[in-house]
Amino acid sequence: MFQLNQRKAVEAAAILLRLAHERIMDRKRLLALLFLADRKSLEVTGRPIVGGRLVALEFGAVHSEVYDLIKGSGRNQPEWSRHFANESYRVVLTDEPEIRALSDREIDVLTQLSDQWMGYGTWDVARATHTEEYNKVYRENTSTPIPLEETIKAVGRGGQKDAILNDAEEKAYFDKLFSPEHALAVKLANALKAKHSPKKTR
Amino acid sequence: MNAGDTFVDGKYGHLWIVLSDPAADGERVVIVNFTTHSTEKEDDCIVQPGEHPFVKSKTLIQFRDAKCCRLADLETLVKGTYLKPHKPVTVDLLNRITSCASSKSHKLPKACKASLEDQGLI
Repeated sequence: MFQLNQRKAVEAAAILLRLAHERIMDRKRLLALLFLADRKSLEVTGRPIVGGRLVALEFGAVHSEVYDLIKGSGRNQPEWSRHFANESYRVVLTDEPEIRALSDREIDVLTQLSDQWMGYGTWDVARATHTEEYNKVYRENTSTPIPLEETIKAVGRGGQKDAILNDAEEKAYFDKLFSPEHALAVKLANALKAKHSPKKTR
Repeated sequence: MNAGDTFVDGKYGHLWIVLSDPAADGERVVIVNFTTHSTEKEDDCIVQPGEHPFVKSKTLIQFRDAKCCRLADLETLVKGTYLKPHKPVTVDLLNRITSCASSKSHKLPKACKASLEDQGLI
């Protein structure tokens, strides 16, 4: 599975909200656009933009971890809440994040999707997430995970399924290896090791 | 650490190359890696055997995988043996990779792109 890149989720949501009237959007619409953007990116490049767990809910397919962030119960909630607030069932962009993790290509996917669905209602966009893989796993009144393998097949990249799954694993490793958090953990571990190693005697 | 320096990661054994000048901006050091496979439909930059001692078969660079790190963090990873230094790439190869990065800059994370642009490299 491609792990959630929360920084990209924040930036992608901000880009979609920037393009919305008064920077406010129904949460269902935002989740649907993020799902469609990830699916398009997987089809074209072999990778999603945001990543993370996908689930089939009654109203459509969503990133469950992004949905948790919107509801205020995400894993790294402060990063999300610095930029977004809720007004009833709508999400508001309150503070512009710096765009640094997304590429121009990914921004283009998000912008094109926003343009494509401009003028359509929230339920129209949500219904567009009732894709082949959604219909395959959805069970009434449940939140059913959508396996990445199903999405890969549905977007026509089934022949590269193994390569894409391996790429997901590798990407997760390098994202973690080069994260500032990892470097800090290594630094602290090295310092502890040095402190507790026996002192050399002459 | 200088532009063109390389190191190999311990798990997947990819060669990572320093693309930007760490002395010019130690907060945003851009690194890219060699890989033998890609799920992209097009190759960004192909490196042939003989262009660097590490390259034994046709190798690619995917600019979507570029990372923008702090110099101090990279040095920590080297000290912690997560990354093992290897021979630097030649100036010609470094220039070619940078030129590829320029033509594929739409795939670079914005932070990497900004760092390379600010240094006049792309």
